Amino acid sequence: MNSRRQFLLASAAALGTAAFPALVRAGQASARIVIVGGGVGGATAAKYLKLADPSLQVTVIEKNPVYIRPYGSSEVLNQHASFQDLEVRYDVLRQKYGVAFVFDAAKTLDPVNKTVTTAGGKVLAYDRLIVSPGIKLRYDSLPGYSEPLAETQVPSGWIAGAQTALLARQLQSMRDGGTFVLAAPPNPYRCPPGPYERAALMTEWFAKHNPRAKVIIADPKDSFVTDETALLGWNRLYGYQPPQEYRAKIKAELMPSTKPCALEWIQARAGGTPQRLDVKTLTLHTAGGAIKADVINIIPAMVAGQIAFDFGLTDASGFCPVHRATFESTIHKDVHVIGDSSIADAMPKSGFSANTQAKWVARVITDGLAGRDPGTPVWENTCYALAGKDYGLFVADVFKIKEDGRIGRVNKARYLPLDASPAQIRLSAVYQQAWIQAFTQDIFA
Amino acid sequence: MRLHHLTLALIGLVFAIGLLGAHAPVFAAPASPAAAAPLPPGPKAPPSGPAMAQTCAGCHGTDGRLHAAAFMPLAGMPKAQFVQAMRDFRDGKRPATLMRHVAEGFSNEEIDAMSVYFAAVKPE
Repeated sequence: MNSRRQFLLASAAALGTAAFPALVRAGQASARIVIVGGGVGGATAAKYLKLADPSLQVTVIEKNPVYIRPYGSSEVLNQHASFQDLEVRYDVLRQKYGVAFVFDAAKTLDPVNKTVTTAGGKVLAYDRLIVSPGIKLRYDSLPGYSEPLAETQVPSGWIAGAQTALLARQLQSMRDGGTFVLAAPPNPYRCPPGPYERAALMTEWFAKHNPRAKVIIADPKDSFVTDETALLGWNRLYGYQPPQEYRAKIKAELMPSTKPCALEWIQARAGGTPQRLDVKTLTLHTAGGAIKADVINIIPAMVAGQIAFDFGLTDASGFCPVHRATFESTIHKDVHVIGDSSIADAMPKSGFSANTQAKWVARVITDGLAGRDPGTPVWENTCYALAGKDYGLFVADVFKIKEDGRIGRVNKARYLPLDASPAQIRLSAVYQQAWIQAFTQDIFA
Repeated sequence: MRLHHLTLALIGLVFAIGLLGAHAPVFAAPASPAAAAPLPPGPKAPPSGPAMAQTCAGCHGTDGRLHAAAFMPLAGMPKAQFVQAMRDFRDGKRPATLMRHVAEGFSNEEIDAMSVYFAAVKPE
């Protein structure tokens, strides 16, 4: 790290300022990197930029002075974690790494003069800009649903915060024998195994605290990430009977049905697609009929974070097109878009994806400023998920840019093997908790 | 006049977007991006050791330095030990949760390059 800095300084001295016309000005020797968004992508980028070159001026623009981590946030619902456990502070990034923070909302981008203006009127000039705004929930994608309803009566809780706490209160105080309906989102969305993990964790929690309760997943899809491994886990834990097309795939011996399962997954082909919310009667109307509920959790369709739209970085898909090798926007030069908002082909919209994209972009920027080739990119994704609190699942991917120019997986299997031993399954659950801790350290500490 | 046309075009576009929104199927995924020019193929050269090593850090700690977690810290691991572990994971010789899947993504040459990186990091 130190030798790298010396190399940078040495090259700057050897080449003279002419080699860096845009970056070296009177009285200002180091490049200014502005990062919009202090979530997993933005915070990882800030840390890894400073690790690569402590002389860089790195400033993060973030609305909230305390980060509420979305990964693992469903564990607040089943009382496996407290809301305070989700809170992460930026103190180490500021004090140990020297990252500057502006706690304000980014409002406008001037890509010609290379400035970002905040709601509070602060203007930040950049040499390179990284935009990592996460997702925006399209509350209006389900008729009858809205953001005000999400905040008061029918929470989404997919961006961790007050809605997560509201949903936790509703679920934990649901009437005896009540029905919890979770409306799963269409692709693409943040945290692919997440909705199913949430439903499973609540099934487990209800078995103990509200044993006659029911959990219903209404899904606009027929499959999901980790599906056959999750369905096998649900069978073992809750007596769940997987749909016919999964039975051949699962191969492992399934527990027979003894009583109606508390957990039901209604696929699109079985009429699960959510169509309308009637909040007065707390009924979710689906393609297959009406489901009367006691608690409803809507996880609506998603697009890039609002800032990506405000900055003109999105295309017709509602996400941000980027050059795969650099994650630089194909719309605005010197602006990199990472995380959930970017179009990254086979990479899922996960925290781990954002984390490895951020590190790669930090390398692209520091090597670019030093006139070096960053080489061949590689990214990873690993998501741990739970079928129950001691039953771990996962998806693991390694990504490169393929022959067709798109980002694709280069490893074979993705999921927990279907013949995994009880020890491997238990260990995966231990690792799920360890991962939250290790991952948070890699980003924020 | 040109400005006027532009304004009309913009109004038309906004209107069209509005209509699209109103008629978009409920809970439908956003439209896929229009087919553009062919993309440049990925580079053939393997990624550098440091670039690969930093993808491990989400579980194994920044630079392989890890505090108080269940995973193996990789900082300072002797090269031979790293190479053997990764090859055994990849070939299914060593029981694992997800490390077999991860190791399958890397060639012998790439595993060697990562081992050089981690062996050179001082454990804290």
